[in-house]
Amino acid sequence: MNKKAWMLPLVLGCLLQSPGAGLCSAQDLSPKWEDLTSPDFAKAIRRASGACVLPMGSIDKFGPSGPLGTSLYTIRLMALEAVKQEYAVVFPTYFVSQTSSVSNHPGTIAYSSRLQRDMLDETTSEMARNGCRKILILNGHSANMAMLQDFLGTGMSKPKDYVVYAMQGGPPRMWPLTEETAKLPVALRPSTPGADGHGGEERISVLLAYYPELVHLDRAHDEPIVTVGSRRLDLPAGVLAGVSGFNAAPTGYLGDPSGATAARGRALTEYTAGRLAEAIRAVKADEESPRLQQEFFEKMLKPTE
Amino acid sequence: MKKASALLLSLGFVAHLSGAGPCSAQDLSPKWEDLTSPDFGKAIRRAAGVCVLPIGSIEKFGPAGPLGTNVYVIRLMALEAVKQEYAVVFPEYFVGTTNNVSNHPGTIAYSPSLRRAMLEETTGEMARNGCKKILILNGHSANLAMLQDFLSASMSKPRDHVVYAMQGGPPRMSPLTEETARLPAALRPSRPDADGHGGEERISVLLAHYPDLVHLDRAHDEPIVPVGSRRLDLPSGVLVGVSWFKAVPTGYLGDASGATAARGKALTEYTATRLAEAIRAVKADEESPRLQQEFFRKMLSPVE
Repeated sequence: MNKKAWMLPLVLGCLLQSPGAGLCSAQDLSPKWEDLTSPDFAKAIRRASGACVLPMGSIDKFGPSGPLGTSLYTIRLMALEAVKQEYAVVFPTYFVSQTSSVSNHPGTIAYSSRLQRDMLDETTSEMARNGCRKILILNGHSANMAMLQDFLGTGMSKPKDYVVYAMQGGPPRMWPLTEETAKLPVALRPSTPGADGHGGEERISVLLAYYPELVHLDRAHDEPIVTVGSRRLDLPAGVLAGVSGFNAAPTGYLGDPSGATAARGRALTEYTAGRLAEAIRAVKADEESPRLQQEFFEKMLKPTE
Repeated sequence: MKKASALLLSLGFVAHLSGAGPCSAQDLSPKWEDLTSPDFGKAIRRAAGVCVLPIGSIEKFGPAGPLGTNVYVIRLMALEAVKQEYAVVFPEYFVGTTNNVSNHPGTIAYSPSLRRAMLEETTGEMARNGCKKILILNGHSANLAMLQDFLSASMSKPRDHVVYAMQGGPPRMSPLTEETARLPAALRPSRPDADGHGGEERISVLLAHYPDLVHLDRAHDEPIVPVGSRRLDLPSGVLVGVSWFKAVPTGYLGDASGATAARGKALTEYTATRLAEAIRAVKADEESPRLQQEFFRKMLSPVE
């Protein structure tokens, strides 16, 4: 068949599409950076109003039931579900995370602190160079949070014309319940109070809903069940020590995923994606942070004027 | 109920004694990120300590291919190869040499020092996790000089693991050489000048395995430039950083419009088998680890 002949229906199909829907419209621009062609990338950045998302996962032990990439799969899922509601460009796979304290477990990939920082610095600046004026880091590995806060703080040391935001991007902690989480749908709660934790019911439920082939629920009791907070170093409250995680979770496994259900996983995903979509919307609308950042840099460069 | 379902699963495990089925060693995923931590140790043993690091890039791939073309293609080749010869495959990696194509939208171009540090720490982390032999499969040709330099420079410090590297993409089928002329005709482009960066070869591979990522109808949205048709007016052998910008002003070489899934499947099968052979050879290789040890002994005490 003549090549031009079969391309004709495609072209006609494009022309017949109503605005904003269908095969050839802006609605069909993939949110995934790596899936866009280079010419489409520029369109995607415009459609996203320069808002991009950097989901940060990790490769570390996730109990006997979850794969090493659990945090990575979960945070990318949340990001990709969120941008269905509020479009933004999503950076490719990223797992250069703070995992040194769990590098005693097989398969953990633990980059040095220096490389973690350099990678974050260059990744965000490459995103900015490519038109991401507002970058929202979605953290999928809680141990990154201190690094991210420090990164945002020290990011104020050098003028830049883009803004980096960060937030915890995973499902909400549903145990122990707080005044706030008690108001959330019951479907988000664990089956028993101590079931959530690192390798426990919460994220395993999410994987069960979306990547069931990666979950091994039958192995949930292959290692001792340790409840979050049940093991602590004998140190006064407020004293931090690097090895505390090793004491708290000697096998890298907290909680119990044996009661995980796909239904809870779906509920957690829907709730979390909705919350992230709201955040993306707020970041797009935010005019104060860019303005304040500019003002800060002007004063920082000439503090005595 | 939970105990009952666990029992059924355990019985299933017992019934699968002969190396097949959901709980057997045959079912260990080759993908690092898909293994549980306890399974990871088993996978490394099954792979005899051989791991594969597919390196791609995020950059323009003409008007028809996605920015992640090289990542998709090299990971596909690696994952098809390890079906034939098991090895553990490192997660998605795209810290490639892309500075000279960073003029195109969407290219992610890390600095040379970060690329080197990333490669050093990645192979270091792989080795710490039991990868005694690491085969880098390069899916972005511009990385090759960096990889050669990385291998040479790695002889500066003793280590107990060996890093190997090879081009992991499909063979160049145009112009034909004495060697490639002997390969199956199904591997050849539809026209001699159809292959190139963003051209028919890798777009065929995507068409066979990820058709939703390909936009063949856009193949003529940008000028068609055959490989080798644009060169700086410099004597042969003189290198300069900007030469690629001259050779490929739009980041598009060849013509993707004649790509077919049939060619893509043929290229994948041929390439995966070639890579599987390489993995097998790396597993069997005793000389490189021995020589490396000997080198380091002599390097540390060269006058003894």
